[in-house]
Amino acid sequence: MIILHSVLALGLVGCHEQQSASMQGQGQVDLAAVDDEAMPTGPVATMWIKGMACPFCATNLEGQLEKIEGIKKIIIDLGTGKVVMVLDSTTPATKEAMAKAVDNSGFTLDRIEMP
Amino acid sequence: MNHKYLVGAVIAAGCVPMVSAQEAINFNSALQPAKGAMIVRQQLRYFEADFVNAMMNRDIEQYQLSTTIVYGVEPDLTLIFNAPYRFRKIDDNLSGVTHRDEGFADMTALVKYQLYHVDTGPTDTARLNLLGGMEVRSGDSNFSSDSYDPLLGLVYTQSHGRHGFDAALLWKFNTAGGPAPDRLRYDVAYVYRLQPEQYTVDKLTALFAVLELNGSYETNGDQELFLSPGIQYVTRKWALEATVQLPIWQDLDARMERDFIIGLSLRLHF
Repeated sequence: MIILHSVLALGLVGCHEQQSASMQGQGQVDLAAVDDEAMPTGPVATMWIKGMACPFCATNLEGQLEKIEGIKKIIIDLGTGKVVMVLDSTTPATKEAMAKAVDNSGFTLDRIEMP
Repeated sequence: MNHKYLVGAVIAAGCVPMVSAQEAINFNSALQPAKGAMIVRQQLRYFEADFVNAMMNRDIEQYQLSTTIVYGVEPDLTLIFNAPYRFRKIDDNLSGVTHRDEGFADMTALVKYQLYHVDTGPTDTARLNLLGGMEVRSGDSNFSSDSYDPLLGLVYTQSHGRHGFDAALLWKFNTAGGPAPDRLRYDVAYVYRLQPEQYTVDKLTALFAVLELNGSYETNGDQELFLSPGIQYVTRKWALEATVQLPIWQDLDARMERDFIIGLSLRLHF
């Protein structure tokens, strides 16, 4: 079920086998090459953000989200503003903390879907 | 030689341009770094100029290496500090003597406060910022002015899809007295994202084309306007920029006429 959540998360940001994604702190990583063991597992939260106009904006948001306890992985799709987060199963980040991170980044939170 | 005129001219060439991305190269935009985030920019500018009047006939070359630090205090409040170091060569065509100088020019401290902000889409935003600060004398006898000059301005940035627009006004109140003028800088820029056509999860680097108009008016009547094409390559952690500034209108009596300005810069996001 947890793996299903992760797969669903990747689907939400438009990934498929030929695409790669940015992994927290590791730059560009080809998701197709990441096996289930390397892939963090856990509940998935999704946010939709407005106002991220450039690659630096994604770094601004990621930096704020990385400060939150309970997020294991962050995937940002700048084109759609969709941000998928794999959460820690035992102490997942809260919706309020995520909203505050978006606020500190200077962007507008459209909505959050929590697991 | 009259350093005041030269210093005034080169200040107009690069008054703390600090950018984030998809925005102008040669002046501030209204985008802000995140709270606690820092951007460090190293910029190299080079120009050649002539200063010819009834009293003098000089050719001037100058390199300027600027370090700019931008720090996000709050999402709507940013501090900007800029320290330029200059290398200058002056050929006096009347005496045949060549002068070489180097040193710190006036430093600039600015506060950028967000007055208005609306985000209308994933990559769409419109922001208006107030700029306030001071140009501070460095004390270096070669390049420093004798004054602490307040700065006040407004900057507007709009981004919509692949298109970006910036406009800025910045007034410098010269407190040195005497013939030193106040100065208004006015700038507009159009930015177009060449690549990628659409950001995706795996397309988080971008290439932008930039076209700017950079003008200045001084209360002694001196005016100039530059057309400045440029290019930016922006990743998530760093950005490279290059620009050429070409004079399209110069009406200058008190200072030199620059033939062109070349700017290269690297920005690092922390």
